[in-house]
Amino acid sequence: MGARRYLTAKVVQALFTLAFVLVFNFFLFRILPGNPAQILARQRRLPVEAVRELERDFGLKDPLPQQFVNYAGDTLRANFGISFKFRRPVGEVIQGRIWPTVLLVGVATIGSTVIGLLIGIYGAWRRGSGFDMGSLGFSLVTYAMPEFWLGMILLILFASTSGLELFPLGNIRTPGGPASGIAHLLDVGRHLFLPALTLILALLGEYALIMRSSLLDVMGDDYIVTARAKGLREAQVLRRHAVPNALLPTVTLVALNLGFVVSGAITVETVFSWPGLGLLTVEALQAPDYPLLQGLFLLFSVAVIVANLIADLIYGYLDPRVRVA
Amino acid sequence: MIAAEERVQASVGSLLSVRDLSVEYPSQAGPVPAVRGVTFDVAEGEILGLAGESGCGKSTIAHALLRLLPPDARVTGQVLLNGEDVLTMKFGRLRAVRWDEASIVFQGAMHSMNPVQRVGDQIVEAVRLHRPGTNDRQGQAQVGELLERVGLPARRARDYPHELSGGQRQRAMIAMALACDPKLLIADEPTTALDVMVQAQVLSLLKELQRELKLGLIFITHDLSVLVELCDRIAVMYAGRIVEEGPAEAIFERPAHPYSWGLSGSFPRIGDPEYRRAPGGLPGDPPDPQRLPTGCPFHPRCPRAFEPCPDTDPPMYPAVHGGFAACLLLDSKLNPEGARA
Repeated sequence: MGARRYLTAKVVQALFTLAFVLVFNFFLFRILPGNPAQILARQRRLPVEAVRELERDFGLKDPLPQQFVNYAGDTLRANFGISFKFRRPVGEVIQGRIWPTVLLVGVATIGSTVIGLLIGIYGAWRRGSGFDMGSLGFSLVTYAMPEFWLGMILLILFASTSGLELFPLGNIRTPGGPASGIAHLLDVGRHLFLPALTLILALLGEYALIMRSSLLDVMGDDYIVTARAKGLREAQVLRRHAVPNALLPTVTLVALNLGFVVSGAITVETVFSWPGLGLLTVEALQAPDYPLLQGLFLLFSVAVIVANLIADLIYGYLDPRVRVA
Repeated sequence: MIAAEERVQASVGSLLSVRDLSVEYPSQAGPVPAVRGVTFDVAEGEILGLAGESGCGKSTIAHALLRLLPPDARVTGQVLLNGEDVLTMKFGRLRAVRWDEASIVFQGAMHSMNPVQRVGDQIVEAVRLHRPGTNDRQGQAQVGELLERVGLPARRARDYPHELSGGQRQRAMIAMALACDPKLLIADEPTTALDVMVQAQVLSLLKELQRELKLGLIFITHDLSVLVELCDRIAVMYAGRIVEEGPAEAIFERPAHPYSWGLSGSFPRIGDPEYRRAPGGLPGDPPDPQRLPTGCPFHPRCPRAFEPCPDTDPPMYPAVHGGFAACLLLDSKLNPEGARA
């Protein structure tokens, strides 16, 4: 029926976007100033012939179309080049750093969504109450707060020697600490707590605000009066009729955000030395490590595209009207 | 007044009797009276038409009957449904009464059904709520029956509201309203958003169901000509008050209140050449409920206003059609020549 066509259309759309990103990602790095071979040979007084050889090895002297064909072919074969800094294939480097980010972003997204939506729902339900006013102020403040600043404050309060020293200062595990078993999980959990809390606080304000306003909007709709007229309790009206409708804009926002959260964790990962993709990006920028950056940019773009696709699919699932359009 | 007392007496044994119902909405500039002391009755199996321009308070009454107004609205008076006062009953009892004893077909079926829930599920919800023992199969069967009764195929239960046309949606809404066999059905402008052909179909459906199920029906509309065909009695509202009440035919043919003259003249009688030459209709707009005119609220627009009108708020007088009208023209002392010119 309409559902399958909707699905196909969305996937095709995502593939087109991906193709565009691929092209853009190629040219972006050709426009950047500086000769990669020179950077690669930096601080080493290499003879000119050696630089020439490097250029040849990396295919930098090929005509641009040829370079693009090589790049596209390599990318499709999941060959993203060799990192300048780590002297290892980019794919491998990224693979080694992807799970900490997935863990951090996953926990933060689930935490902020659940808490944010609940705050929003309760605030809208008890509009004008003390809880509503308080949560509104809280949401606005955390929404406006830069996450790296919040992260540093939390570090000072709960991890530094001048603070409570409840949590470690950074990294994902204690060096030389337990490497497996429950002790390992607890260790990672302790390290995860502050960066995850920072991201949750940074994200949930927006979710709470959107959910609240969306629900208030929906509560004025005619079918809510119908639901009350049928004799439902207020809680049933809310759960069965108001919330499912109010979720539509909120879920889209959460899913869309997911793509940006992956790249947006850069500052939080830096503050907490969390060995994920964000920190890796900073390291690649400092080098500068062009192949690694190119690989990371591609990954971040894919994350956004996939998040978009997920948002579309969830929306289609939640709202039967979309499937037909 | 003798007239009003007689009307209170008449309420005994009726399905719904509304006594002196008033509704005020708060606003920055003070309370806004939307309904001002409305009294009427609906007997079992009777159809009462409630007519008036938009903003006269007729929808507010519909919502007040099941206490569906926003919590800040101030509602006073009595709404006796099967002898129980809806306005003072406990919330739990109110929930049990809603839909089970009286249900509403809302204006604009477009928005009065949940867009993300299947039509059948929305109907079953009402059944299950008031008949807790109902299992899935029984629920499904009942939904199918209800839909077929309103002229929709049972498989439409699986559709979402947006997959139905306007007329079908209104039929589904009616099916939902009948889900718990209520004794009273309140239809709040159920045909307003529909085109004329569909309107006629929905109207005849409502009439048929009403007769079959012996429903008490309150039909609210601005279209007096619709009410004539459908109703036993008509109450005409102006500025939050009933200004004329009586047998349907008589009110349309021989209205006693000048506002009803205008209202019945506002709708063209198809095929009536007289109407083409002399369209009636009312000059001016309905009054702002916050700044009601003194005396009779209709006097600034009234073609027959005379000296006492700006100072005296008219009570109900018996009218020649056997009903009542709130017009000083009917006062034999103020207007000795009699009611009709």
